[in-house]
Amino acid sequence: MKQRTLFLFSIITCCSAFGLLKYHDLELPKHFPKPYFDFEKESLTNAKIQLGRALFYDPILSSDNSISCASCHSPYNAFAHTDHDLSHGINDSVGFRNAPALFNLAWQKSFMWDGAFNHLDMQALAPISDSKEMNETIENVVLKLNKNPHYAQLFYAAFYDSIATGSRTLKALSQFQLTLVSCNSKYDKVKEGKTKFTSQEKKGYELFKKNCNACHTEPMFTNYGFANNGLPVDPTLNDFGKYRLTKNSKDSLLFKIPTLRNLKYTYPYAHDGRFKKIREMLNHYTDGIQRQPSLSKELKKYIVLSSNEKSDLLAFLLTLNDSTFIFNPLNKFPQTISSGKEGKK
Amino acid sequence: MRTALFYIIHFTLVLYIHTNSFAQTTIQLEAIYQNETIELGKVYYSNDKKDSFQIEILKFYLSDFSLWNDEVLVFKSPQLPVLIDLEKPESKILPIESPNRLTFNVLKFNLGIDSLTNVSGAFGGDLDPTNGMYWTWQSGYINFKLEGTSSISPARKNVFQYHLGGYQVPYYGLREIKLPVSNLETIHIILNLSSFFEYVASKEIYQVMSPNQKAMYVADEIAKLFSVQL
Repeated sequence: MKQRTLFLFSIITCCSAFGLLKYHDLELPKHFPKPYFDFEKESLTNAKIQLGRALFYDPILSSDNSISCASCHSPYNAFAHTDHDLSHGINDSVGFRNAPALFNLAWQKSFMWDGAFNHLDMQALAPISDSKEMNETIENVVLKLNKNPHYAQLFYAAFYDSIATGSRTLKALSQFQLTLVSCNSKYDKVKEGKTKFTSQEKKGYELFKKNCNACHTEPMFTNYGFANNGLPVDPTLNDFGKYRLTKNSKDSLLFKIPTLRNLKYTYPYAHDGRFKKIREMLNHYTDGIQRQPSLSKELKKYIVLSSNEKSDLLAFLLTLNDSTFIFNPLNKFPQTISSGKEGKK
Repeated sequence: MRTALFYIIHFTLVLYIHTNSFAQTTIQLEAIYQNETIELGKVYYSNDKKDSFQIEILKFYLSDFSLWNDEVLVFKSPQLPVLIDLEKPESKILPIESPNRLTFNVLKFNLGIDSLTNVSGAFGGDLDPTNGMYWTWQSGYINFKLEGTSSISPARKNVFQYHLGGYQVPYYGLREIKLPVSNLETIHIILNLSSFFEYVASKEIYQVMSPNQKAMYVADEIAKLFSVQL
């Protein structure tokens, strides 16, 4: 096997089912690890991906047909929500966390800032049901979908049955999101030997490996774990992260370690979007860490970086931006959306 | 003609073998309060007539049915978890297909959904999230849902809500239930909520909606309320 292909199974399935379809022939770079998602158990198919894509961009998922997934996860922002510190949804309600970027989800073990969901399939239940996001129920989404002839066709193509169910709806959303793979940054090209870092980027890379890589582990730039990175609690939100779920003091202020890929498109940063610039985030690590008991052990030792070193580090971080991912037409708004309305942007 | 005859004989034989090698044990479930079958929306009174309550929702998952002869496993049903919903009378009748001529005296099953199913993504049928038995604030099936109003509940509009779940230790909500049965075609299982409303439901325990210590206690108590009507 010359190259590992993530979506090999899907292509085989599609080819055998439809003769010639070839949707997502993305080849993963050799430096990427094996995805965590079990594609042998749940193979991707073109029809399911297209159904998921239609659902992702369709405000039919919200109670007043105003908010789609893409309202807060825009393809132009690496599926994050640029400029908005906190997610917002129906009737201009404001949520309590920053809408995270969506890509390379096949490697992720749990979802949401506090890891509340253990499987990508089920994650969509959270924004659909949240009174400040889509304020809808999956039961009613399914009722609406079943009244819609366009979706009857899409469901039939995907599941050989035109009936929408909760599990089919969620699985299709999951399939589309699994195709969002960002692996074509300058960093990736350097790893593949196609280009070289500048001397500043190289210096930044060394600083990165020394100071950041323990948690933001390459090549995914996260170890998919949870940590307290010393951010003081915002008293207007009182968000204690994973503690909300476990009520265990060890989990106080633990949040998902986000990937550092595509930072150019995903500002503002941190779970509550408190930092507008990457440099502010770096300044936090050198000067702003609050030393609570649950502080990540990697941060117990002080990080010391000069202003020039921060610039070098920044130069390296910018090599993680992947414009081909941002402009990939396969990830964008599909041509036909059945409810005829484009969600709020 | 001979081929036709052959097929007829063959078919009859297959049918004969089939009907003789599988038996159907039917489980019939009934939820009762003070010897009365529970009806949704009906007002019930406590023994001393002081308290009253109404049940609006009673739904729960049963899974992993197995038949035992004393300590020996005789048959493990491959059936997926089933959702019992008082609102759907047909859900209270569960046919369990097992090999014929088994000797068993114990029926075991779980109240709730196991950990593996809880971490394996979306499922359809009785496990479909549209059944209202999957949490939306975090992963996990609701194993047992009981909702209504009660004069003892201090909550707004006197509501009580028990959403029991949890798939991770220390708050693993699944409970094994073991009942003595005789080799009958129909097994009547009773969920008797009398003692629940008498001793468990209280001013302190009227709203349990996340996997925690309280939920584990209530799950333990609910698991004790299943019995077989002989």
